[in-house]
Amino acid sequence: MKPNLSDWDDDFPPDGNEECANLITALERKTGFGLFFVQCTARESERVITRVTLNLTHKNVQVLRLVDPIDNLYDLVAGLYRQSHFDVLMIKGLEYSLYKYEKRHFGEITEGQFSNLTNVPPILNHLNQQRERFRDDFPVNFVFLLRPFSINYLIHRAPDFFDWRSGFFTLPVTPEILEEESSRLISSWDYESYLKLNPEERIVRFLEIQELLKAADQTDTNRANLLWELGTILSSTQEYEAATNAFEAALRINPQNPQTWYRLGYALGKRELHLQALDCFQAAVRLQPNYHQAWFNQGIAMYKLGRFHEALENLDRAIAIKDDYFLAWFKRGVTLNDLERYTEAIAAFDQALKINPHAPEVWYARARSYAIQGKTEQAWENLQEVLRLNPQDYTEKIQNNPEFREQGERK
Amino acid sequence: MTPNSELLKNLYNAFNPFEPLPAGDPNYVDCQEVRGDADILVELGNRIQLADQNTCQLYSGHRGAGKSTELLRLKKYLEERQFYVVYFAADEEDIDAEDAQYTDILLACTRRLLKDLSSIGNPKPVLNWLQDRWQDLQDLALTDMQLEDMKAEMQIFQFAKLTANLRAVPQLRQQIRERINPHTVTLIKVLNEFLADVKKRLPINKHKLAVIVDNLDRMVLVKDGVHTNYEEVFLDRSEQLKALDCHLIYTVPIAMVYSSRATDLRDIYGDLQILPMVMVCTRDGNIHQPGLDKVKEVISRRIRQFALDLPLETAIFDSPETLAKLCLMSGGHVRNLLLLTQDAIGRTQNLPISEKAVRRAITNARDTYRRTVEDRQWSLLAEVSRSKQIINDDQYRSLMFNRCLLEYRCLDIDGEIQRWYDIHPLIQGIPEFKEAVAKLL
Repeated sequence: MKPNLSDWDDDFPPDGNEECANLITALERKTGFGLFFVQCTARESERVITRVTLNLTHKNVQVLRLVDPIDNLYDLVAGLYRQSHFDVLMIKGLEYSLYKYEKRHFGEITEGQFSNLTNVPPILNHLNQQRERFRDDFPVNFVFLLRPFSINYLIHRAPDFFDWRSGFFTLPVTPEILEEESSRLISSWDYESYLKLNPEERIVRFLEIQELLKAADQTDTNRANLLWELGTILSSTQEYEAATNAFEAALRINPQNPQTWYRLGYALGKRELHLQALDCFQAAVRLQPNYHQAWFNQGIAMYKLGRFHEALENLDRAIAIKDDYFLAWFKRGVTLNDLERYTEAIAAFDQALKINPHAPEVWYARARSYAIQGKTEQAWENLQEVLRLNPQDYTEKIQNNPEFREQGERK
Repeated sequence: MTPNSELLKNLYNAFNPFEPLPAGDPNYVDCQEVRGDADILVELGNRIQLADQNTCQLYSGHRGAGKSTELLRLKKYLEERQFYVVYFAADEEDIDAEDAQYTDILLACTRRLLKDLSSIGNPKPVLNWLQDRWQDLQDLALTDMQLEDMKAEMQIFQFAKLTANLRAVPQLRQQIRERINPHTVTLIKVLNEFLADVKKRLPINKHKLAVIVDNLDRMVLVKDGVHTNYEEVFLDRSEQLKALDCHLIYTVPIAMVYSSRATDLRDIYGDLQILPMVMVCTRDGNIHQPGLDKVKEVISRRIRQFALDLPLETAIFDSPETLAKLCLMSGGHVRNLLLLTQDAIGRTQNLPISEKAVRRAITNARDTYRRTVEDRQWSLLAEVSRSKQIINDDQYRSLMFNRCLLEYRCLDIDGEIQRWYDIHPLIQGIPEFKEAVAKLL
């Protein structure tokens, strides 16, 4: 007889309320040692903790909230157990011990990539090893509250520990939670805010965004915005290829966002793909004609492609929108130098220096404009300013530049 | 409190997945016939009993299939036949399953033999060896005590401290290995002198000595270039592994048994004993009633101790069908069965356990399998589900290790042993798997 299992092949997931009630039932019934795992977001975990604490009135429930990486859980638990003989210990924040270890490139952190067999995060090692000691020394229930990323880690890299579970509960991500979490992460953050994060904070944010992107009920608007954030994080760690993919995915959902085109162009430029970058900046200014940064970067892409005249036009567009645009004035001067229009170049540098007189690179470029024209006196004055502002970086550079040979001899 | 909440509580706790059954436990179900006649007592036990010289055998099987339970049975069987048996779980001693090498195993054996046997035989040769090495090792035991001044018990204790550091202080691990490594041959020699003395003084009615090292199969695969730690232990160091002067049984990771080095393993150790799954379905996909009945018995034994008068198929479960499907979905893997049952009981407020509760448990377990499989592996699984065969290829290794592929064994009409393989039945319903199957055509 063939078994008729096909009707059971379809998943039959419970809702979050039911799942939480199941956890409480399990904890009520379990005597002695037990391992439980709950998959949920960081915020939800607090709701679970509250519900369990309120419902398990006749059991002593303690909560261990980890905020730092740890290598040893046993000693921590032993200390707590001495203080209060709890029946249930809910443990939150084990992820920090995994993030710290996660040294791979962000772009590779995706589910299902656990091919690195050379080592394992120390905490998982510890849990695998001390499993029997936990069982024999603590006749209590442990509830680990973890995000999907960490559960995957356990499945792959601590299979023996995970295999001892008495229960694994998945709290489905409801549309409300999805919305709440998404809007938290779709920030008004700019690139600089991301630069300020430490590596672990970046990984947390990266993983949170990735998980929200995977959610089946995610709206397209949120998805595009989350991809934008993802690409920006990746750009902030110089992973421009992965960033490119993220921005491209965002544009497939919403091609009308000039910022996305701009960021994509920027990432492509960093990868020296200037022709493609150019297309992106053009798309950005088509959607938002007063987007001065996009005009400026379009100019840079043109310059890199050796199309100096067009570069000049674009830089002028940027300046027309924002007349105190330091970088645009500076790059205008550089481009004019390349076109051998030195007088105009010097005028552009003058403008740049009005905005920021402390920029050695501008003084240096202006010195070149003079030196090439044979105006050694003025060149020398400019170089002196350069050396006053930044002797470390420029002394050698000046000595090695043949354009300044005469000045060098004078010195 | 519902009327049967106390009963549900007892039932829930009867299905703990983390404790092997001691020999003679009333919950033990002899599944030999439906594991293709695989009987540890016959296959390992007999060979040890009949051999007139020492044997060294390997035992393997899927994690949670019941190996430790079977090995504890074997221990009792041998003890009843004039054997003195030292059984220990390697990872409860000093071996770190995540990073184990041969030297660690030898040291763990040494420590355990000293602990269990020094009251029988004279450990002097081993302790002398240790004294000669002590100058070199004492900093690694994190002690400045001088060994010469101590009594034998204290010396053994110091040795235990050294080996404990193998596990507790990963930074010391490599150093301990490096300093012991050049001396493993002499360590084995003195251990054998010790064992020779032990054998002369065994308790009345004991004539032979056997050592069972369990849980070595938990060693996690670590790859260093092309070389793996499995190969280091079971192939490169096989001479030393076999050299202890007693009967030896080591557990070996199932992934090693199905690696490209499987033939080498058989050349060295002879036929390996693998504990197969309980065959709940035949190779052509039909229900195998005897196997299904055995699996039901595993459940009923554990339930019977609390609910002797409640019929399993109507009062404990809501229908015979629910129970049967639960059993089939376990794939005949015991720990999976316990886990699914415990989870289903946990999702039950009132008996009987409903189809809904069991399906919830299955959905939950299936998700774990979905996450276990890596993207490129779905097509391999699809192929095996069709061919029921695997080749000793490293690609299958991790799938055996994480139980996505299960081994079954049966006797054909001529009484010959047939081995075959299938995907875990929980995988059947996973969309990625279905896609891979569709692509096969």
